[in-house]
Amino acid sequence: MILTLNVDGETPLYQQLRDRIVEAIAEGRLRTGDSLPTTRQLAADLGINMHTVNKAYDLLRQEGLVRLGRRTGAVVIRDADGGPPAAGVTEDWEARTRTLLAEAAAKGLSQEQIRQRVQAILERFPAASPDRPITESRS
Amino acid sequence: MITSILISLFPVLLIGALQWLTPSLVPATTPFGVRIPGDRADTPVIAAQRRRYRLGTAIVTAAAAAGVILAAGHPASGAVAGGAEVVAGVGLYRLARGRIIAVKRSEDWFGGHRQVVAADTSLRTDPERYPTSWAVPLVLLLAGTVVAGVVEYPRMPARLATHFGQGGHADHYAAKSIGSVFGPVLTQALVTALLLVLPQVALRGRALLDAESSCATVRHRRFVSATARALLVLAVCVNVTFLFAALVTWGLITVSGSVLVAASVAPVLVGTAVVLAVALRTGQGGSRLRLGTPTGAGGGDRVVNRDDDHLYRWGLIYYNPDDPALFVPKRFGVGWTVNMARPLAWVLLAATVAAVALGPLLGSYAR
Repeated sequence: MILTLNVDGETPLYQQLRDRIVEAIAEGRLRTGDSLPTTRQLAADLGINMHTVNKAYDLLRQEGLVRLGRRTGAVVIRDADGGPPAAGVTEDWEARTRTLLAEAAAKGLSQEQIRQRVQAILERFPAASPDRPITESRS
Repeated sequence: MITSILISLFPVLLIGALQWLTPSLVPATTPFGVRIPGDRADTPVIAAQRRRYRLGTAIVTAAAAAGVILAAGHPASGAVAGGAEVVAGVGLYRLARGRIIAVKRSEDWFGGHRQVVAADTSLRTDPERYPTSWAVPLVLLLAGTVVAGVVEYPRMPARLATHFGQGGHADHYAAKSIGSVFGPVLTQALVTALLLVLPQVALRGRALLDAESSCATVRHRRFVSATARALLVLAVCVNVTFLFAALVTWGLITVSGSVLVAASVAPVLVGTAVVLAVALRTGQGGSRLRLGTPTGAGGGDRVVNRDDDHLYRWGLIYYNPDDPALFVPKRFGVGWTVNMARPLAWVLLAATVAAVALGPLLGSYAR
């Protein structure tokens, strides 16, 4: 899996790293049981501070997406097939989505445009389509 | 005299050839160590600087070679001329680099581009395997040398020839002892251990991934896999030379002077040629491998590799305290270098200097 971080963007690197990994899980590129490199290894490969990777991994751990081991790095412990979301996840996500959708509406996107774009994004997540392929190749 | 001139000329010409070739071995996005967006790789200033640099290295090499010939192959002439070449090469590199940076700044090449860093997690979760089967001959050769030494010890002459002068005639001797017989074997074991570790550096070191290329990972995998194998081939060749030298020193085989020189130099030349051939074929990070048509990441604002020129002091030394990596890809050359912000890098540097300084010293004691 290729991880690409925008170094001169406004989003902090740890946030980008966390976001890319969440997206990879949603898209089926990472599945339950898959490992991620150790903190040190990933930081060395990206040429960034270890604390940045630590922070991203810790966010993912708090969200219940990965388990951290001293030697094993991070292991994905839940994906789209992992059953219903934990308590509070839906409410929390809805609150943040409301803000995002509000931004779009306030800045002039029509409801139809918003719906189309959201639909297009959802179609990239195999879990969201009823004809989800059984085996997804990992890159 | 002809032989000594040739021996001194060899490193001078090798350094010159490597300097001449290096601009072609590095990725198009880092000409002379300057990070540029991929779409600027064909800018005239880069081709012009490449020509200038090459003309410069050709003149310097010719001058250095002439110096060696005029000095009639004086033992130190190769080292002095080679050292001068390296210094001049750094100067020419810095000149070319300065010109390209000036144009890059004035034309704002990175304006409107999104700068990224990329890593492929599969290189760590599913790494290239160490080519263990290629290391087997190496271990067998080393073990063979030890066994030959132990078995033949009683038959060895009381006085061992430890150094051979020009023409292959022994000119230094040592009394037979465990130390004089197995000292060189210890050196062989240390050199072999080092050469066994180097492929591991290739496999574990930071990957040179071009964020603009879709086949960056394939390039890296082929590059490290070929480099690791080439290093093990070199290690085998070096061991053949050690084994041969041991057999001669131990008086187990006697050869004429010219055969002695040829048989001890040839394997190392072959090994070096293999490493160079692989470097030429793959280029730094696999940048010369032909892998179909590259497809850019595309998008509105183009994605480019981060402008990381500031992390290279004087364009030569990588220094990045934020980066936990010890081994990073060379900016101008093929292979890896160290992150001088890591304390371990200084330990390695000190160990190398110590080995280079102490090696000849120990050698002279052994005589």
